[in-house]
Amino acid sequence: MRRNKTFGCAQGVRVVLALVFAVFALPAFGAATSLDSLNKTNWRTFAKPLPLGHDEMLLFERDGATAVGWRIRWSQGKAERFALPWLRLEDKRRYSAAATTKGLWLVGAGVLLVQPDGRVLQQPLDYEEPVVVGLSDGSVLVLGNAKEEVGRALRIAVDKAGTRLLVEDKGALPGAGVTAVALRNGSVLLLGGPRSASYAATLDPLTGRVQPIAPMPRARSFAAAQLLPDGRVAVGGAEFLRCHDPSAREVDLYDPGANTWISLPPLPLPLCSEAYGADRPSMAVAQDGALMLGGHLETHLMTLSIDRRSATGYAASWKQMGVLPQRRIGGVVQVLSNGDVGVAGGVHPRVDAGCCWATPGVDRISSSDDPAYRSFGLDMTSPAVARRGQRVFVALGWQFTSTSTGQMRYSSAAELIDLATGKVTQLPQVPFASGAGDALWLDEDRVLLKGHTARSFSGGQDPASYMPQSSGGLAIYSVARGSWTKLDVPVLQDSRVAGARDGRLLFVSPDVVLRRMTTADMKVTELSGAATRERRGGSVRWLADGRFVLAGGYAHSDLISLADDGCKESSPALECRERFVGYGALVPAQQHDVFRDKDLSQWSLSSPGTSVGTEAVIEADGSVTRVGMVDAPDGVNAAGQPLKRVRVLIERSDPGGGNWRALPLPAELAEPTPQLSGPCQNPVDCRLMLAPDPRNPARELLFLGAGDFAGDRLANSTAMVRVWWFDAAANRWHLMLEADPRSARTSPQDLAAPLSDAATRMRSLGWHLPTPVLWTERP
Amino acid sequence: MKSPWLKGALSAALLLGAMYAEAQEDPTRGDIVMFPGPLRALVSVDSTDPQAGSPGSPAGWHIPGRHFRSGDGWWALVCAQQCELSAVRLATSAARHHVYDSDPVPSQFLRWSPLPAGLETVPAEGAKRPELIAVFKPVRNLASLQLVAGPLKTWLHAGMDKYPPSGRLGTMETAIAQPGGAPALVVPRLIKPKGDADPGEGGLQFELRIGDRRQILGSHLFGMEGQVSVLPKDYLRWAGDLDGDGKVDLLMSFSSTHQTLFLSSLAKPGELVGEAGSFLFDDPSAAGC
Repeated sequence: MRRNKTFGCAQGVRVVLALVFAVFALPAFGAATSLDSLNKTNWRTFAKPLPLGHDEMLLFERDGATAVGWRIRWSQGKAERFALPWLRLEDKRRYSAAATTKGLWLVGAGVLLVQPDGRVLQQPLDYEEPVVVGLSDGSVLVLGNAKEEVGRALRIAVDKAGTRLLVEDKGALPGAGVTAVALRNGSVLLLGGPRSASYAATLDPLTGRVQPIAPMPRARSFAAAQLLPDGRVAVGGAEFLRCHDPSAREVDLYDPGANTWISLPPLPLPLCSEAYGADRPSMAVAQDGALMLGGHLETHLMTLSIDRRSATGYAASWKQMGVLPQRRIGGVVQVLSNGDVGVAGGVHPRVDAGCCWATPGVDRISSSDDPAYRSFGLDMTSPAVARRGQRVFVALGWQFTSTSTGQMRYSSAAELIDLATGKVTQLPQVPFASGAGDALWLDEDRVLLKGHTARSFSGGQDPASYMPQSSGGLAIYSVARGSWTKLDVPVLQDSRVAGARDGRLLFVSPDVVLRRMTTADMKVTELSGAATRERRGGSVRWLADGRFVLAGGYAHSDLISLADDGCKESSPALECRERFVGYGALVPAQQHDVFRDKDLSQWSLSSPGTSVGTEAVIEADGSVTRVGMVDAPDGVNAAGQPLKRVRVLIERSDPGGGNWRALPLPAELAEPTPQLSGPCQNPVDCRLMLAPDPRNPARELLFLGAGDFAGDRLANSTAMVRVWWFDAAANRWHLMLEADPRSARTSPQDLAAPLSDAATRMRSLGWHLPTPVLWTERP
Repeated sequence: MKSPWLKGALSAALLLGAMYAEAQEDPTRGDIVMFPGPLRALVSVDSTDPQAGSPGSPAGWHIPGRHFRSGDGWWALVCAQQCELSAVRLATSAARHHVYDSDPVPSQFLRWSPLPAGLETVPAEGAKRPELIAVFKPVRNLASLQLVAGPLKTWLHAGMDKYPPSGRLGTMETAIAQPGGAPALVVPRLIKPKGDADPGEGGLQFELRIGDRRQILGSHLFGMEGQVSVLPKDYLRWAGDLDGDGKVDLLMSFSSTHQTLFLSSLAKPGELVGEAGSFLFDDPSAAGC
């Protein structure tokens, strides 16, 4: 059967009209209030918000034991309060809401139906926030119980006189975790569940007959699903507590007429909402058929527009949209008539990362809202960033959220920022996802992108703990063609890009095996060194004089001779060259590795620095600057006892790595502090950064940052980060900016004098990057 | 004892006990019977002394089985600023040893005396004492080894603060200065695991190098702790000249309970040293992990 790609909406309009009529009789009290007034503290709810068509949404507030409803009218920007006096709420027990032609249903520790004429019907029931699906005849299908994996499926209808509820038992069916969508033909599509996450069937709600359908392409529980205007159903989400699964990025379309599944493009971030009992993300559809996803761990939405020329009927890549002021995990999205998006409900972590607060009120994301410099990529930790002139390429990166479960998410999104105009262009998604990576402009058109795996440099400031091997992909993006070319080079999977010169790329693996690739033919050559010791994190730089330097991060504590069975070393002739490899624990590296000569086969170690730390930058001449801690003279605590103290040390090596000298400290960091309680004692809290001076790109500016530049506390952090610039001529640090961590990542920050002056202001982005983005503007 | 039945039963029990004691493996091997230092607290299953094992109580080795006899002919190698040999006597007494997953077994307390500086007893916490490198007795083919009480030619010993670095890239290696020649090197080497196995599944191999000659002394495989750095003082307990031939002899520690004494005079053709004796003790009271 040929699928009708023209999204008819006649049926949708009928349903909307019926729903508006259904709630019209709700007993409003009090004057309409602004939507902002709903943004109040101590907001508690007893049911998820219920979108009605494209302009109205009902919110359900718990005021002690009293149930209160709010009817949102987006087009008016108003909310009306209505009473639900028939519900006596028990603490924490929750209901599910549905609207049909018969009225507003609330199903949980009882069934409540508020009919369009205001009459109310009630029936005892002992369910906890079940799945409730409104049916075309005005009845509802109730599936199981949020606490039970298998429950009794009930159809609840109203008798003809509208005086009695009729409850029909439809047998045992998947309960918690199942997703149900009413299809156009009157049957209900059932998908997934915790016990049988691959479950896929249709249910005739009148007869209770269950009919298996074509298997869902991947297992899911607590999925988000949406009936589309053309009768197909979109479904997304992974199995419970498996946000890291590749399937968490997949959205599939089911065509009930053809009984077939097809897959939409993968999501740039997993659709994940597992936090504090928030059950599932949310999916909505615009009037033109565009899909909208939200209610997940991120504060932005993901949307996929229509493309009638494509096989799926949708575009080839998802876009990110809007930024909510705070998380709405498990919240509900609704696409409004004008294309804006309303979001309500959900929970967010507390500042102390404890569980959790219901997110109050509603948020509205404007479809035309496109502020300058708003980067989704720079909001990630450890994205791959490359700059060429005024163009900044950003891709990949990770986010971690400590909720009741810890969830690490990796990105496959990419974007281009035009520093001259502030315009941010979202690019087609990267053909792999990774929590960290390196990017490099090969020429005016092409950007090379290399993802990191868990093995590649995940120490120090890049603590992404689990990046699968697929994260180590390699791809080239052509700006002119607007497309990616994926390169399959397995030997480079764990490596990172160390530099490019004269048509050659240098890669380095975590165990410090160097490989050279010629960009003309992508041929890879291994450069064998005399010694290798693993290094995690830290900085790498291929210097203009041919040397290659690794500094900072963590390195093996020892070097050891390698006994290789395949190498005969019998006395007296030594038939093999002896090789040394790293050995023992990974400890903060106080020495830097230097490789030299044409094939980088000559290896040496610098003399050790004094401080203990992992932060280091490598300057153009090979000098290395480190920041770390050293012991300070003991202090005295309040009880008069000796107090162990430490202090910050910034030290710089000479270009040859033979000698170190201490640099001055910013006054704010100069005083010794008790161990484990002062600045910079967490390696990620003090960072050194080098960036080309936008006034003279041949020169580099050295910055020191203090504060929490990474981590999931970002969203709630109130602590400011500070950045100083080292004025080498004056041998002192100048405080350049103070900002909240998220703004320091993603909002343009003006730097203070002397880098900015009356004639030119120096602006910045991405202070969580090893190389922040700097540019100048005339005020 | 009047009952022949009872007498027979007792004899059988004694015989069985003796057989059981003999079944406990002797931890010493070779022609030098050796027990490494430091000595340990002596506590038997049957001990009723509440002070047993406390500072000042007797120290020695508590070994399952009944292999050893009291007597002379033993030597103690003790190092402080320098190393000295002392003639000592072994005293044994019967005891019973704990077994991790079974009944206690017959055992012996082994004590040596006289030892200098209170080494015969359990030290107080933090006490600084000379280092007892080992007590040993040459037997069989080495019974005629000429040893003299007093200072012993020693290059390195575990009583030193630390050993001088080797001057090579390897950070855990040991250089033993040799008169008129290149230093002898003890080189820990990483045994490369097979195939794609985790590096932590390999082990360490200890190699003696003098000039361009090499000899593998021994090895140990990593346990569940994986790669752990080793200090030269931990694997080389002593390097000196015990057999008086002017060449380096070594007491190597391959693990906390496996030590081997190598003498240059026992080297076979192509070797630098030969094994004189070793101690490999598997404490039956330990769970093993």
